[in-house]
Amino acid sequence: MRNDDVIKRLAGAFPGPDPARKRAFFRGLPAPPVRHGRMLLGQAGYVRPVTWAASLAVFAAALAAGRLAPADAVWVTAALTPFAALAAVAERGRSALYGMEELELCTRFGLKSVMLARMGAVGLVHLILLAALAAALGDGGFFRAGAYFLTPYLLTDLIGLAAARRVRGREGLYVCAGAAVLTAGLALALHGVRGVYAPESFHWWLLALAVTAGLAGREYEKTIRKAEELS
Amino acid sequence: MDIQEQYDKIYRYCLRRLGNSALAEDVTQEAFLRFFSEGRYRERGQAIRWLYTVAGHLCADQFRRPPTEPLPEDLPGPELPLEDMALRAALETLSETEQELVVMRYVNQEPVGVIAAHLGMSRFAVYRRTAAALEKLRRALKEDEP
Repeated sequence: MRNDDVIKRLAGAFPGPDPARKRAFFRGLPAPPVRHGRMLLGQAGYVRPVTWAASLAVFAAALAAGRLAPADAVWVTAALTPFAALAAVAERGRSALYGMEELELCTRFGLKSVMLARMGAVGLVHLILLAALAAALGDGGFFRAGAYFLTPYLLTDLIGLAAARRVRGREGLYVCAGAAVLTAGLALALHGVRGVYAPESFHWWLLALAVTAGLAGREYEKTIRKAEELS
Repeated sequence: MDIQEQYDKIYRYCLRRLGNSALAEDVTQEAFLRFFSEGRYRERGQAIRWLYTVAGHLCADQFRRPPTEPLPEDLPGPELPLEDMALRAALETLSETEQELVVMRYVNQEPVGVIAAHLGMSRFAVYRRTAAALEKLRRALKEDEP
């Protein structure tokens, strides 16, 4: 008998565990918890590429505006941010749009967790991009530029969220798109009003930002509560 | 990490130490429950080493614990062919460490690094002592053969 024969026989001398007991054990195990960061990263992978592409397109267009017409870059960017918000709202309403809410309710991570993670991932990327734009185009006034960019973004967001809760399916998306176009138009129209983007009017922007942020926060809360009710 | 595969390895390890399939399964499951409750599933490279260590301690606990009821010699489990039983008997003629080396290396097919870390030996010592143990096992089997 050679050593190789002994090695071959050794595997047979120690058979594996009872498959039924092993299956029952693994079936009874609770799913391992997932860290928030890992969940966020994991769900970011499921965000449609078109959402990221739209966000980057807005970023690129704003940068191009900054290069071609530096004096107009701020209000042009303010008029572009509603479209980034539209991409975020469309991403949030994807489950409802394709009638997948029921299915997502019975998955390992419920609809609420998935929605929160995706909203967090897209929102975080948008915030970083807007901060980068404010730093690049703000011409020394980072917070002022930030307020100009965030206000129309949040306004679109809150209208989009409110619409998505009331109007279901594709119609809801059209309402969001309409809101984005209207907000962009408003930002463009405000450019025509003398002194709106001037430093003296900044306190009005701050007030508008506080109001839209508060209302958007309420809309987020309602959207999350609705997802909770579903689960 | 294929957790199902690791389960089989830990079970075989416990089976060698305890000699009883039902007990080996209980200890394996206990080791895995501790593994999951400690959130160790994230540490991919170290997981199997951690499992071997915990399973080893749990097996030792089984010997320390006063038996509440006598264990049947052979609880329901897969029937082994005679030649496999002879192999197990021959394996028992080796020292505890040699048995562990042979089972980890040739039954569980663990990399030498994992065995060395688990038994606290150098890689060279693992190579040398595994080869010696295999040779000893082969000779023990040869003596048993008619």
